[in-house]
Amino acid sequence: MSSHIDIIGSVIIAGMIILNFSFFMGERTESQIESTNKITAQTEMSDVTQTLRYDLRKVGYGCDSVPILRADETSFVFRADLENDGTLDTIGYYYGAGATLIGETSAPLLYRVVNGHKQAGQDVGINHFRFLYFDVNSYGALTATTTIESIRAIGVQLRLRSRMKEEGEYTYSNNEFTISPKNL
Amino acid sequence: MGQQAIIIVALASLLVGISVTGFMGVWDYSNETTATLFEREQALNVSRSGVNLAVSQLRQQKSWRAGYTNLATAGGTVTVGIVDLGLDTVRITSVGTINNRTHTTVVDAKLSSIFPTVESALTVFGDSVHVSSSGKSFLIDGSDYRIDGTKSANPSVHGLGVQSGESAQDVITQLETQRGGSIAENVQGKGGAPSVGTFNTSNLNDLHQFYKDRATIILPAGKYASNTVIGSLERPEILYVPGDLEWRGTIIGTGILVVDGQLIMKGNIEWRGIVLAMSGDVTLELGGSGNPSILGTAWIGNKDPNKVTDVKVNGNPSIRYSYELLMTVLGNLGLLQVEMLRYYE
Repeated sequence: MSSHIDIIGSVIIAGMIILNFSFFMGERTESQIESTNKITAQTEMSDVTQTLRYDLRKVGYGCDSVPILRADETSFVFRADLENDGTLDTIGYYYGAGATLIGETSAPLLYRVVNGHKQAGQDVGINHFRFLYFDVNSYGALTATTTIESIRAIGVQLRLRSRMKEEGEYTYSNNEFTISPKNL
Repeated sequence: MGQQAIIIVALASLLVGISVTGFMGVWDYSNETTATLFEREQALNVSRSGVNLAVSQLRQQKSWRAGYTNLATAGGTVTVGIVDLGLDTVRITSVGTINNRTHTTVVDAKLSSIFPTVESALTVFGDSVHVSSSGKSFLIDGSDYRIDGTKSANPSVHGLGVQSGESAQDVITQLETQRGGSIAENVQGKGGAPSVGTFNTSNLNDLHQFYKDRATIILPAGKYASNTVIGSLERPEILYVPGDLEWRGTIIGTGILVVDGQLIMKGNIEWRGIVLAMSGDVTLELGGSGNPSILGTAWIGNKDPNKVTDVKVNGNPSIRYSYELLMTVLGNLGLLQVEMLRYYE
């Protein structure tokens, strides 16, 4: 009799453990998706930011003529010796629908074009991107400018959207930074 | 029952272990991503610190090329190398390291001073320049002297510089016709005696005003006869005199002497650095008694074409050019400039 009770008890306890395990695994998976979502956005934000910072710091390096060729809210084209190899490069950043650049319509993408070559990349979910331009006044403070010749600092605002929805909603990662290229 | 309990505990431990390991892995990756970004920026800041340290040093000492090796700064270490690219142009390479991440910054910089290029030991402004001497033993020498008074191998400048070729010829004639032409040999330097040349126009008014505004000592105009030491190589002074100055006695001064008027130096006056004397009819009178000397450079004159710049050298005075002294004085006054030509980071 006691062995029957043992067996029934074991089955009940085992069932509880299995249920508990399933519940934990489900929670963990959900939590991992959430974490992965955030980490992916964070990593992509980090990568995009690194590339932008790397390039923008070099605006005008090795350029004895006009360093900035185009500057508006969604595009910025400048010249710099990017690799310090004595060759002047033309670098352009464009944010917009793919149709204007590659002949198809898509969600807005950020393009990095170096010497006319568009870099192969992927949609990392940038759903807001904006360049800001600043001059420096006599006190060293940044003031917004719309004149290319007076640009001394470039601000970037960008927002990345998560790949997957989480509880029916996307999560966002925002970043805003300003670079003062020393060659301007 | 005991065995079942062991199984239950083992399964529960496994469950907790898997969950904790999973969460910690995600957490570590998240931290690593953030840390990587942060460390890269830190390495950049460390390398920038190296550039800033080098620039500060070059502002004090234009000839500094030693650099730094693994200097602790801004939480990391930095190695800085400096090489000459050309005359007064250097390349500063700064490698910043923090947590095994490195960043290299390369800067091309021009070293200059807040003082025009010196082209003569004695630079005389004004359309009318009159040079006279009552003795034969004075020396106006554009050869480059070291601080210790010995001649260096650096190129010479003119002994005496004036504004135009016409003035230069006029001054040469004055030197060759006085005292049988013997004093012409006392103006030495670039091109041989009499070393008289021209200089590129500089705005003496602005320069005069610039140094006047930064005076560290203001001495009332007048006649002084004393034994005084003013400034030192390590701590030079900018001495401003708002009027005529006549010095006698034994005075050793180091720095920049700015005079709004006549400058008369008699006795054992030794000025190391720059002399700027400017007024309407300006007279620089050296000597007559003692052995006054200027090591560095002297700029005198006026901008009024109706006025005359008189240079009177009596007895055994000397004006000798010294690049090393000028750079030391300007550096220690914080008047050397490092202009960034190109900045790669």
